[in-house]
Amino acid sequence: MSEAIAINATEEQVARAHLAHHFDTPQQQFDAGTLGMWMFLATEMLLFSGLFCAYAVFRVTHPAVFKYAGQYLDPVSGLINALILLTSGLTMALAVRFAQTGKRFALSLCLALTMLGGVGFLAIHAKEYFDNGQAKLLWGTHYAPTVGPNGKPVAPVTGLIPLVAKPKPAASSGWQSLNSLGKAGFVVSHSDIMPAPAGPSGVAAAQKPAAPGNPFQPANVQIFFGIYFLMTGLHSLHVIIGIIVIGWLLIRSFRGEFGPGYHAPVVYVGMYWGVVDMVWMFLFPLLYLIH
Amino acid sequence: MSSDHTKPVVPARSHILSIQMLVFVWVILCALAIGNLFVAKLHLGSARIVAELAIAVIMAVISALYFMHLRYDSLFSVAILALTLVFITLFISFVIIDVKADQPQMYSGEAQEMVQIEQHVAGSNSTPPAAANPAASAPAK
Repeated sequence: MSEAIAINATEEQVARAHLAHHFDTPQQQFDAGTLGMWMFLATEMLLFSGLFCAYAVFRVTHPAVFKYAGQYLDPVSGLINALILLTSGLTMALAVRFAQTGKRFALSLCLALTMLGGVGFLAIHAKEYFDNGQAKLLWGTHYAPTVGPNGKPVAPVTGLIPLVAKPKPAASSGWQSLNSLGKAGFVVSHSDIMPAPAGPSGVAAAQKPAAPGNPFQPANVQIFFGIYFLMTGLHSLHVIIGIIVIGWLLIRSFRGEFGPGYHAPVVYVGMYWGVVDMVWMFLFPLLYLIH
Repeated sequence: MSSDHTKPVVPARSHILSIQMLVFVWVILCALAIGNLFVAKLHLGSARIVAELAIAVIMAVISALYFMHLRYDSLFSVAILALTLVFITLFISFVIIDVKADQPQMYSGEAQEMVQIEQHVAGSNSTPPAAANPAASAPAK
């Protein structure tokens, strides 16, 4: 599929102008940049892997929470976002091709379409976040749903439900300091994770509150929304950064800076956008297709 | 900037993919994303998440190979990516093994609670889930 592109004298001048003094050839500079980009993307994947690990731990330890809370997310909305990102991945890959072949108008058009795809993705996500905010499907103490998973209104749970039996605080134990934080500081009453039986607090009765109007809601549903907002929020931040960087490429492409002689930044940003796509390929089934 | 203006400078070359190839890859990726939605509707039990993640991995590999040009990149780049994924797999696997080993002590309630919720929803059991945790009846010291 490789194509031979004729390099004229102007492109040679462009290549010379962009050759940094510590590289022998533009090819060496380009390969070093590609290697550096792959290493950066590896660190990005490791960054996300921490959140995927947290997701896995919570899903293993709170299966009921994920099964219940997953019903609140719309799989079709997740799929539309996936298709938007895949299409923007295509336009970015085409932008790389048009930069390599020196098609400047097509390059600018594809970069603009990629930005548009990113903005569309964020718009759909913002609508989801807004709906979640309206229904109080939020993290931690902010979780107080006004609708059930079936969309029907439920009586909102305000504040925290008191513990059935509070663990007895031992002198200078960790529980004492946690209790002193009050309900705003630490969600003890929603947790069914008990202090260790052999610990300073002894055995505590686990809290299993049934939310009024929604008796089959498991405890700790806020955990799902915590991890949901964290994972999709970090991903959206990457989309925003990608849009900004592609905007910078678009300005440079309007100036005619990219062509067969120099197109490395377009290739590198294309690789970054590929990882943004890739992360959503995993977030989509893990968050939107649970039920 | 390079100071030696006497040497000829050959611009860097990178692999160019055809438009047909890129569109073909995009169609495959979209089909897999839609397929994932249908897999989610199948009654595969615990194998469903494995199937969904397998599709996601295939999509990620195709995207890396073609949209990110990894197929035409150096083996060293492939090694960086492969080793990263191996270590991520090890990282998550060992954490899950550890959590599962400790779960009976740490999280005694919720697995049973889920069974009770499902039984109740199915109409086979009217016990409210609040009584599911055996530790709930233990007296506090």
